[in-house]
Amino acid sequence: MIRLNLDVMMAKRRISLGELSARIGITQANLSILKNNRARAIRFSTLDALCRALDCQPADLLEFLPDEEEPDATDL
Amino acid sequence: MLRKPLKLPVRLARILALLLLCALALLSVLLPTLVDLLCEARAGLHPQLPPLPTGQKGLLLALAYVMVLVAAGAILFLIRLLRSISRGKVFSESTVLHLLAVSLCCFLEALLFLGTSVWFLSSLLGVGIFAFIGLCLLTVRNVMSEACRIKAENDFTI
Repeated sequence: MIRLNLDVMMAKRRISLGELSARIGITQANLSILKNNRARAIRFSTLDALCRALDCQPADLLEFLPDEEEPDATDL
Repeated sequence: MLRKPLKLPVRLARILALLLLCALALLSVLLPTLVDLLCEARAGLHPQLPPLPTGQKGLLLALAYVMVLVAAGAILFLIRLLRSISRGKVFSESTVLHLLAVSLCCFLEALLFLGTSVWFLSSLLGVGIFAFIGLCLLTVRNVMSEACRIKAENDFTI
């Protein structure tokens, strides 16, 4: 699964949810969905706005976590 | 909220459903007389057939009452469905559940009509009609379920 480390990056930049919301023009409710990893997908425009506001790369925000039940690629 | 052009048909459908519910209530009162009339009509149309024994007439009346109850249940689910649609909850789990309930009621009604076809062959027409409506509603329910899934996907795309 893909995890969005928005909370980590927000803590690093010392920025609150309200402030980030005001900067990128996304509602706090939607940002909360992103922060709590409840989102099913993220638009490039949102990712672009987040990277601009937090001064980071998409790789700093997104992280791939292999599922435990998924077969290991080396076993195939 | 529901857009204005969509409101009128929903309101009309709710009024009609309520009227139908009232008609069913009236029908349930008149049911013993109607069953007697049906039996007389059957005897008139098919004089070669023996008249229905009292026990079978009682069974037919009981079936008719169950049919009215199932129809009332379907209408109540329909009213609830229309109410949630008028509140703007079109693509919701409750809509899917209500549609499933109405379609199941239609299938049950078809089964009951099949039961009465032992005495009245013309009841097979009711079987066909209710089974067809049930199938159509089941299809709409599956489409709604898919629409709900797409809506959830869209809602959680930020």
